[in-house]
Amino acid sequence: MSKTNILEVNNLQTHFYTKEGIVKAVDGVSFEVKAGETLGIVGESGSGKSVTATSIMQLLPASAEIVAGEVDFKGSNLLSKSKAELQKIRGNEISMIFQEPMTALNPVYKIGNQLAEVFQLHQQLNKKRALKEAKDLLAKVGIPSPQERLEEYPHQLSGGMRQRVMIAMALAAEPQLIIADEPTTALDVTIQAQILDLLQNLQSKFGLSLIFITHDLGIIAEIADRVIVMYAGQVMESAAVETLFEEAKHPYTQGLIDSIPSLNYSRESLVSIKGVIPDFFELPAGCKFSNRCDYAIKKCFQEEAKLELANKGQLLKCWRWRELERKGLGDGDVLTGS
Amino acid sequence: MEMCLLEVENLKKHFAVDKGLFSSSQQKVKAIDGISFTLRQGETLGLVGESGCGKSTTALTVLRLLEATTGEVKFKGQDIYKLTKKELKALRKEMQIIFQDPDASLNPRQTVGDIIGEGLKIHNLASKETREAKVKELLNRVGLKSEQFLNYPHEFSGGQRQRIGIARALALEPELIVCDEPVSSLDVSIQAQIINLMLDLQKEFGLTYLFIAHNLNLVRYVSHRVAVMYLGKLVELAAKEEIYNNPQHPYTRALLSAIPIADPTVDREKIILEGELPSPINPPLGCNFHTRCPETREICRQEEPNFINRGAEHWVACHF
Repeated sequence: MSKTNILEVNNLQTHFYTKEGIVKAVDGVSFEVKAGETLGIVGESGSGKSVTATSIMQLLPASAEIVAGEVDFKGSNLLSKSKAELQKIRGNEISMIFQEPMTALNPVYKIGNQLAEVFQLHQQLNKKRALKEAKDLLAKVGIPSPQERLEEYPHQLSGGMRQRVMIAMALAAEPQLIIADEPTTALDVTIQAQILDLLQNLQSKFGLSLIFITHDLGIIAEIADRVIVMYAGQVMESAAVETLFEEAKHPYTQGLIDSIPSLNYSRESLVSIKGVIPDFFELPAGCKFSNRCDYAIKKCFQEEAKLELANKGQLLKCWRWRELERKGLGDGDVLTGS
Repeated sequence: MEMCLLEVENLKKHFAVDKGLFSSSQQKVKAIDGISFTLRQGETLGLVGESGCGKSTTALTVLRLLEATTGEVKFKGQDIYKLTKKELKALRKEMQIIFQDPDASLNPRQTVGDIIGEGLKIHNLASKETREAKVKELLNRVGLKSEQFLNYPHEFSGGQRQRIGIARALALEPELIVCDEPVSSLDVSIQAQIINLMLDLQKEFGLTYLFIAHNLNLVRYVSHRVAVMYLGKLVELAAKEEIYNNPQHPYTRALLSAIPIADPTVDREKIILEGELPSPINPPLGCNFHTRCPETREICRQEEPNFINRGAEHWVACHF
C-alpha cells in the first residue's frame, strides 16, 4: 500500500440477492483515495455509486453481501474486521453524509442529543461536555444561534440546515475520511453553493479526504481532484478531473459530458445517449455499455474489456479507446443517439 | 408584433393556513403574489426559481386547474377566469400540461392507450377506431412502439413514462403546453433525449411552451425568454441572452453564479447568498429579497420595488 493512499479498494464485489436473481450492484470496483484529496464518483441511477459507499462502510442491507475484494483503510482490510473493531472506525475515522438528511437524522431526538451521542460514544465525554462540543460544532458548520438549535428537532430545520447538522455529525469525531453520498442533491442551487463551499473549507482546514458521490458533472468539476465514472456496477473510466473533462476517452463519459446543456448553447440538438439505463437482469453479455454505445463492434458484445492504463494515469474499460482516440471522439458525426 | 397567446396580469394565489381548530386569525401563504407576463405564439418562456417560490402554483393557476385568488389570465384575448365551466372545457383542448413526476401523473390502472386517448374521448373528437389509430401514431411520434398501447405505465422506464405524458399532452393538438419540471426526475442521458423530443415537437406543431424548471442550464438551452421568480414574485424577465449575459437583479446574479459549471478550468468568484428562503407566510417587508441580498440598502427594507421595463423588454424589480 502506497504511503499517500488512505483508502484502497480492490476488486470490490457486492451482490444483492433478490427474488429475480442475483444483482451485481458493485462488480469488481477498484480505486484509491489519497490523503487530503477529493475523489468524485459519478454515474447515473443504478450505477452502483451508493452501494460502493455503503460497502466501504459495511452498512449494507441484509439482502446484500460483499462477495469478494478488499477495502484497505490505512493499511488494514476493513472487510476482515470484527463488528466491534468496525464500530470504532465508523464515525471515528470514516464517516458518512447522506443525501436526504431527514431520513438520516432521527426525527424523535433533539439535534443536541443526536450530536452529543457521537462525543459520548467515541470520546467518552459526559453529557454536559458533549452538548458543549455539539454546540461548538454547529457554530463551526455555520448554523446561526446554535444553542437554540440543540433543543430543536430535525423537522424544525430547513433542508440546508439539516444537511449542515449531518456534516457536523460527520465531523464530530474528527475523521480522516468522509464519504458524502449526493449531499446536495435534495437542496436548491443557492443552498447547494453554501454547502459545497462549507465542505471545501472544512476539508482544507482539517486536511480531510473526501469521497464525493454525485450524478452532477458540474459539481464534480468544481470539487473533485480525481474522478471515477461508474456504469452498471463497474468503473468505466477514471482520471484526474482536468483530464476527464478535456480528454474523456470512454464513449459513456463523453456521452454524459455532452448531455449537459451548459456546454451546448446552440439550440440545434442536445447530444444524448441512446436507449435507456438497462435493468440489471438485462445487461449485455460483453461490455455493459455496449447496447447503448455508438461505437460497439462485435467484440464489445461478446467480451468484457479490462480496465487499462492510458497516459496521464487515466484508466479505461473499453476495447476501442486507442482507435477512438486516434479518430478523435466527440468531433463531428459521432455520438448522435436519439 | 407577434401575437400574444397568453397574457397574465397581476395573478395572485393565496392559501389559507389552518392554525388549529380554535384559532380565529387566518394566516395566508402568498404562493404567488402579483405576477404578470405574456407568452407569444411559438415561443418558450422559461420560469426559474428555487423550491417554494411559486413556480408550480403558477403552472396550475395559469391553466385554471387551481383557482387564482385574483388576477387575469387571457388566452387568445379571452379571460379564462370569466368563462363558464362548459366554455372552459372547450378551451382546455388548446392548453395542456406535462407534469414533473410521471409516476404520480399517470393512472397506474389505465393502459397507455386509454391514458393518451382519454382527452379525445372526453372531447368527442374521434370514434373508437380512429382513436386507436391516433394513439398509435402519437406513441410512434414520441419514440415509443405503437404496439405498446395496451401496456400499463409501470412497464415503462422513467424516461419512457415522461414520453407518455408528452403524448397525452399532444393528443388534443394544443397550442400551449405548460411543462412543470418535465425532466428533473430523469437521469442526464435521458433528460437530453426528452428535451430533444420536446424541441422537435415545438418546431413541428408550432407549440408554445411555458417551461418551468429549477435547472438554469436547461432553461437557457430551451427558452427564448426567461423569467426569474423569488418568493411568489417575478424579479426579472428578459430575452434569454439578456438574462444570462446581463443579469440585473442581484438574485438572478447569485442564482447564475451558484450553478456548478462542468469545466474544471473555469475559476470564478461565486456569489454565495447567506441565509435561506424566508417563509411565504411572513415574507419580508419592502423588497422580499432584502434579507439575503448582498446589496441591500435602507430603501429596500421599506419600499417594494416595482417591476419595471429597463428597455428592450428587460423587466426588473429592484431599486438599483
